Amino acid sequence: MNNKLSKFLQNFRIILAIAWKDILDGWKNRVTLTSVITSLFLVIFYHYMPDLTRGDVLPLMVIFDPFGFVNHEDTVGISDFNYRVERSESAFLHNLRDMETPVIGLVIEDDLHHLKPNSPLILQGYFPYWMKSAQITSIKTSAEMTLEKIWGSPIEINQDEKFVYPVMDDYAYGKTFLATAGLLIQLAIMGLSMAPQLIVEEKESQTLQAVVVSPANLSHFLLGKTLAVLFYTFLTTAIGLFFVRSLIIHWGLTLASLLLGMLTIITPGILLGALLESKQQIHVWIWVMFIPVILPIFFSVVRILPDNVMNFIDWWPTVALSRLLRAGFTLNPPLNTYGSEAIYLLSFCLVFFGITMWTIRRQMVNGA
Amino acid sequence: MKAITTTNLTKKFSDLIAVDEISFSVNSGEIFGFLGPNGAGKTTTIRMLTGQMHPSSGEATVAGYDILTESVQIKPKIGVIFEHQNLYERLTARDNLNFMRQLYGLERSRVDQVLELVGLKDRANEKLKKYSKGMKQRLLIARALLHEPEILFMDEPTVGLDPVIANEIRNLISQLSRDGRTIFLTTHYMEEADRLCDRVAIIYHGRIIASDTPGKLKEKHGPTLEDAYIKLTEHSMERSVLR
Repeated sequence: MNNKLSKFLQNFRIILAIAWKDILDGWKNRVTLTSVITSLFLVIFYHYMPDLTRGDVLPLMVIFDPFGFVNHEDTVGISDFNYRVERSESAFLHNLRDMETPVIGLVIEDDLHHLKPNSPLILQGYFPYWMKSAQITSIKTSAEMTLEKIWGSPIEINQDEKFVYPVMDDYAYGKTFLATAGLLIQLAIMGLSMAPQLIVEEKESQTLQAVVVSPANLSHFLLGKTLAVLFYTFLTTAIGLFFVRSLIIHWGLTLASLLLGMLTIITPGILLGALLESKQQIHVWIWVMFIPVILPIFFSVVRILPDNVMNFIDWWPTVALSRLLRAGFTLNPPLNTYGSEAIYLLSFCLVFFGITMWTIRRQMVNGA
Repeated sequence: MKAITTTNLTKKFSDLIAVDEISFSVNSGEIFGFLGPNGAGKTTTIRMLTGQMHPSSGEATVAGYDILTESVQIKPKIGVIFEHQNLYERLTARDNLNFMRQLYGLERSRVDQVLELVGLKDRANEKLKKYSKGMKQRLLIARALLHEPEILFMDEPTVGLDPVIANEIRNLISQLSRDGRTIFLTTHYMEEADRLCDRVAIIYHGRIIASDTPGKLKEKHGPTLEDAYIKLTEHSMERSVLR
C-alpha cells in the first residue's frame, strides 16, 4: 500500500513539475499571452458588442393567446414594444428563452372584447430568469400603460415569480446560448492554440528529449502539459464566467461542465501538437480545427440541415458540451442526461489522450 | 563490470540503415569514444541507448539493464548531454535545473552544488537568452549531473565552441571520469578523443569498423589518431564501393 502511495506521489510530483514549468514559462511566452489576451478581448467584445450595435431597439412583448381573443386591431396601437402573438405555450416560452434583451411575456385568459367597463384586466406576466428586478418593474409598468391606452381598461400584470428558465435540450438562441458559445470559444482559443504550442515548442527546441531521458514518461509529459493549459484556460474562463455570473444557477454544474469542456478541447489540441512539427503549421491548423469545434454548435441551433445530419451533429462533442454547459443555467437540469453526456465527453477525452500517447510513442519508437 | 553492452544493435529508417548490427561494450569508469563522421550513426546509437528511440533489432544493456524492458531502471543511472543545446531559453539557468530537480525528486541544494561545479552560480538567475554558447554547454553538463548518474552520454560536447571553452569542457570531462563516472563520448575531433578516451570505436555508415585504445589504433594505422581514422574510413569506403 505504502509502495503504491509513494509511486502515486512520485507520479504526481513529476506531472506537477512539468505543469509548473509550463505555467512559469507561459507568462514569458508571447503566444500564450496573445491567446489569453485574444480570449479576454473576445469575452468583452461578446458581452458588450450586442448592446452597442443594437441601438434603440424596442423591448419585446410576447402575448400568449391560447383562446384566440386577440385580433389584429387589438395590437395596432402597440408602439412602445415590438410584439408577437403566439397561440402555443411552447412557442411562447421559446420566445422568452430565445431573447438576449429584456422581454415580457403576457398570457391572455379573458376575452378582451367582453370586459366589464372599468373592471381591471389581469394578465399573467412572464420574464426571462436573468432579468433584474428594476428591468422587470420598468418593462411591466410600460406594458401596463401601453395596453391600458389601447384596450381602454385598467391593466394589471401579475408577476408572481413567473420566470422562464432555459431547458438543457432547448436550442433557443438567447442570452444563455451566447454565454455558452462565448465560453466555448474561449475554451477553443486556449485549447487549440496553447496546447499544440506547448508540445511543438518542446519538439522544436528538442527539450522533449531531455524530459524523455529523465524519470518522466510520456503520460507524465502529456498530463503535465494538459494541466498547464488547464491552468491558463481556467484563468481566462474565470473572467468569462464573471461576465455571465448572473445567468448561472448551478455553479457546481457549470464548473464541472467547464472542466470537462477544457479537457474536451485541450486533448485534441495536444494531439494536434503531437502531429505537427512547427509553430507555422499550428497557425494554419488552428483555423482548420476551429471549424469542427465551433460550426456544429451553430448548426445545432439553426437546425437547417437534414434530420439524419442533425442527429449526428447533436452528438458532436462540442454540441454535447454546449448542452452540458447549459445545465448550469437550467433550473432543474435532468441529472441523468447530464451524467450520460458527461461520461460520453470523458470517454472522448480518454480516447484522444490514448491516441495522442500512441502517436508520440510511435514517433519516438521510429525516431522521428 | 560492463556499463554498456550492445549486441547486433540495428536501427532502420524505412530503407536507410542508420545503425547496422553494432556490437561493443564499455567498461565501468572508462571514457569510451564513439567516433565517426556526420551521419555515421553516433547520435542514433546514443538515442537508442538512452531510451529516446527503440532499436529495430539487436540488444543492449545500460548499467546492467535491458534498454527495451528496463528503461525505467536505466533513467536514474544515466545523464545525457545532447548535441543540440536543448534548454528552456525563456527560463533562467536555475529554473531549468529546478525543473529537472523536481522530475528527479532531488533536494533544492543540489542545484547550487552543480551550478558551483560548472562555474555558473553567479549567473544562475539570468535568462538563458543572455548566455553564451559555452555557458549553455556548461549548464547542459550541470543538468546531466544533477542526479549524480553513473553513466554520462555526451553527444559532441565541444562542437562549435571556441578553443578555450572547449578546453574547459574537456577538463571537466576528465574530472568527471576521475570521479569514477563512465563516459560515452561521441566526437569527430580526433585530438579530443586521443586526449580523453581510454578506448574508442569508429563508426562509419552505421557499422563499427575499428575498436581499440587510441594508442593501439595509432600503432596499427598511423602516427596520429586522425591518420588512423582517415585510413580506416577510406579503406571502409573502398570496400563498400567494391561491394
